[in-house]
Amino acid sequence: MIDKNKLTYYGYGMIALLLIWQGLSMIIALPIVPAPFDVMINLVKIFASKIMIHGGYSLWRIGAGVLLSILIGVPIGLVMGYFETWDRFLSPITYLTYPIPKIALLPIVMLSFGLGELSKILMIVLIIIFQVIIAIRDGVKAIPKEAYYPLYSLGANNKDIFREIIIPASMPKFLTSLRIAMATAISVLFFTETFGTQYGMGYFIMDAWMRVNYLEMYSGIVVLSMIGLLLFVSIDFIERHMCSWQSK
Amino acid sequence: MIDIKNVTVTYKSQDSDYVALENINLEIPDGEICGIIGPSGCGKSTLLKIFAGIITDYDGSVKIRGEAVMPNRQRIGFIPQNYGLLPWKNVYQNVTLGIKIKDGKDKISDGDVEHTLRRLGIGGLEKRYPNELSGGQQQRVSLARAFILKPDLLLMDEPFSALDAITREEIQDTFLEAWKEEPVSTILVTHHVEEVIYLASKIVILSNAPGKVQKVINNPIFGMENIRNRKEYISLSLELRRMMKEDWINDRQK
Repeated sequence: MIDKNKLTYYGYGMIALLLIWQGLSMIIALPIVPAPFDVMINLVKIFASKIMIHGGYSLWRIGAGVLLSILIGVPIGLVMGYFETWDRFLSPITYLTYPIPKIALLPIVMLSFGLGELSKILMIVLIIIFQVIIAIRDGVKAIPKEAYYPLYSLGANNKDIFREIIIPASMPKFLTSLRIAMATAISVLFFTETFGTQYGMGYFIMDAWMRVNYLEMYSGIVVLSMIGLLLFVSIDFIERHMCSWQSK
Repeated sequence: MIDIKNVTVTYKSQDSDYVALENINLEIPDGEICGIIGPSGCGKSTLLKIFAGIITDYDGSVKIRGEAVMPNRQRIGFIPQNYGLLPWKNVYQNVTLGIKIKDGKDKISDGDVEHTLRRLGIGGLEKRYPNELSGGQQQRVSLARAFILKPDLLLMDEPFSALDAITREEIQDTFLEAWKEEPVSTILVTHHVEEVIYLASKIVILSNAPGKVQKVINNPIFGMENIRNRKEYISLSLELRRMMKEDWINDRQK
């Protein structure tokens, strides 16, 4: 449910990008930068027959990776934010492991979990789970202690406090972290899909590149960008519904 | 009856201990509004937090109907300074939060909610979120949440101080009307002399840091018609001011 106004701006944005692209292709005038119109025609031609399945694989990997990160990261972030002892224990571990370049772990992950789906999804989890944990933790810590008082005086238990205060209060920060993490996740996904698979947008784009088929390569890039847009718009959509109290 | 015996609260900091409340003794009969008045920083809010079960580390004893304060046993309605509404819940959800936690979701009676909201002058705002409401409306929602809980004890921490004078008087009236319909034992903390005279049947003056009970006054004009226009109202507020000032000056000379 994007309102009309917003849709218009998306339209403007796309036109602007296409114009820049068109300009570049005319200036460079080499097959390596094909004109956007040719790419669109090619995209329409091969989308159903060639690209769709790759897009589906990529979407599933991102979806599974994000979901897994939420399932694991959100509870960890919540307890770290609310219980001081958990934070004292887990923060050093988080801080020590967060800066490790996760791409460097790819060989280890592949050796341990094989070349299949699991290691690709795990890579995404490894990258975005830290952002989720830290955003949630800080979101919980930022709740003023006065917010808890009415519930304390009602004799609320921890379950009530999590359900009524902590989870809804940290929701906006969580969605922001997801938005930031999503872009990283897509780049990591691209990278992992260049190994040990014949499906996924990463594979498709690299394969087209190897075959010097620039039209297909650019079609793939456009689809990847569309997948990104789809994910961002879904997060916006969730935010509008679950955090509608914020914008008003 | 609420019985407070020898309550002392000490905040421990690294190098020194700070006594917030010293040897407080008070008895508040059921169905009374007890107004606690004192200068800023005299420990009024601390005292209220003890009743609310938020501060549990204190000396002495506080009993509500013979039982030690335990928020999961008693029904305590607490209205903090900033109204304590949860911004992610709409008016309906905020108002029913107390019942939901105390008795469970299925005990919420929509008829009750509607009646309470209308009585407090916020009927029809069920779907609004707190940041779509004016300060006065938020205060009414906060009162509705406390009243609908039918608490054993209602605690109010400077509830009306953020409102403009006209709104404040309106809501004070609304509060009194609602209270008269269901007289619940109330402890009201304020630094407003006129407010305590208008709303409290028993007035407790706390002295400055550490907070001690300086005087307890039974308000002779509580509940009278048209209080604000009466001579006694003005003379009592002058009298109260005089007592408080005396105490502050004494303190400073010490």
